[in-house]
Amino acid sequence: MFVQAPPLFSTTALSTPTKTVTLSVQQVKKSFAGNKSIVHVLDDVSFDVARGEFLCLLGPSGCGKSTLLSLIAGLDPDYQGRILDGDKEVRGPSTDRVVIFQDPTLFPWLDVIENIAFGLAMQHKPKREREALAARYLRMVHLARFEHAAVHELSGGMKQRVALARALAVDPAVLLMDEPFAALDAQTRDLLHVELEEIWASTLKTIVFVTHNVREAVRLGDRVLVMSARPGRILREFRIDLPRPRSMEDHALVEYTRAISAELRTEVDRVLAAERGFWKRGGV
Amino acid sequence: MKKSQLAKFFNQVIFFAALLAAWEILFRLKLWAPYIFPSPSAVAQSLVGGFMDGSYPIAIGVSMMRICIGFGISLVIGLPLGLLLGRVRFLSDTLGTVLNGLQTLPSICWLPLALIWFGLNESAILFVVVMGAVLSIAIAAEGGVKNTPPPYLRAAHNLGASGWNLYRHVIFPAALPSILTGLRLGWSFAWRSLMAGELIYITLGLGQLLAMGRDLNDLAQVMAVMLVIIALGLAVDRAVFSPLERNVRRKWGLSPR
Repeated sequence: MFVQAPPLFSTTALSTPTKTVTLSVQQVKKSFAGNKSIVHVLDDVSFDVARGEFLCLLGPSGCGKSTLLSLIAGLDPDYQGRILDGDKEVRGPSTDRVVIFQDPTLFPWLDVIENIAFGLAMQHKPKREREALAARYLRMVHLARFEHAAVHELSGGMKQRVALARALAVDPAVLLMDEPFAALDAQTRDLLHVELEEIWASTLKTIVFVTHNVREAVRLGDRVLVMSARPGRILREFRIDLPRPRSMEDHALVEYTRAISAELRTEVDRVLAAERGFWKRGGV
Repeated sequence: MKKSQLAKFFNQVIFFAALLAAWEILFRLKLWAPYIFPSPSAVAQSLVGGFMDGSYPIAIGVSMMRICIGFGISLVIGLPLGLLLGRVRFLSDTLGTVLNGLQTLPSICWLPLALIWFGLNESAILFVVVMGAVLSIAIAAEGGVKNTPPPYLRAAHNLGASGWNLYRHVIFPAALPSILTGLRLGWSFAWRSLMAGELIYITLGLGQLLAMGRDLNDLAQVMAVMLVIIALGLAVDRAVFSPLERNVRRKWGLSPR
């Protein structure tokens, strides 16, 4: 089922000039002080993201992919290396790069439409414009009927769609998605994959999507960067040259999944071997 | 009414009827003189009489006015203070510890000081009431602000909220459930302080009726006034604070209490 997304930039009042943003992550290192030693989370991570690209960061849990995303978002200024948004260095959070977290973090004191309009209210947009834009994005995630629903009345999938609409409402060039669908059941996730792909196609956003789910990465990404376990490094890049909309059952997609899983398996084995060796040596 | 609620209601009716009956039986056994242990009917009579001759309504009016003014002042001082303490680390480390220490002091202990500072008048009692409520309101507001879930703050920052906007649209609403709990607590502290204050010195009000009952050796009046004080305390809690707190907690998706 392909639902026609409503035209977004049809009226002149709402349209913004196309931003020529390319994200560039250059030799980023991140570590923090643990109990006894310094923990290296990211080690020399570099990659570029082209405008309008759908990039997936794939890695085992604890590989620092979520950390990397919050660095790109500007929510954590403490790292070495450079992250460029266009030609400007990332210095702090910006509505140009909005994160969608695994936990939707909707504000329970606001109803659905107010949540979506939150970022617009922070920009002091006039009320009428706010309402019109929020309603538009509400329709885009197919929740028009739930305009005035309370947050606790929504299912997990619906909450995540509201979070997506809330992020889209401030018209960021880049969406940073941090395992947004990991807590959802498989059917809801499939549905949201379709929706996200449609929204991406109609809004021309650049998306950096973090996941530990190989099939999800292959289903969605133009490109998949496989990361190593801690300290996180980019192990390998896979370009997914498959037509869209893709199907999980597609033979070619299954082939990609197999290849990437094998790559990840080697990495997981390496980590396990290291841990076993560590215990053989007497542990802590 | 649901079946379980109906059962609860009947249990309560039976329990209180039994309690009254036990009281009356104890009275009829004449174990104590009537002026030491009045009968339920004497208390009821005193209660009705107090309302009929206008002394209870006046006392209730005066006490309620005092607590409303005192609680209002507490709110105006305590809430901004708590919100500030929650965000300014320096204040919380210094002034915050003082407030936490003072909160352990029963507020009626301020009365001697208040009498000397303000004299024998309304201001003294208001001061005691304010000292009873303001600290719990400030401390609850501070806690609410400090416990704003970091994910809310991250999301809000990311969506462009900062400074006053962040405070007004994210931190304050996030802290509201615990602020309401603080108000409820503050009100009950204020009520206790007021009764203690009126009992010890100040004219008019429910506390003074209690003291008068003791002076006249009229324990029926003392008990009747105690019942009125309990009823008022419960009524305000049930009519104002409980529903407010419950509604907010439900809307915020927090566990019902």
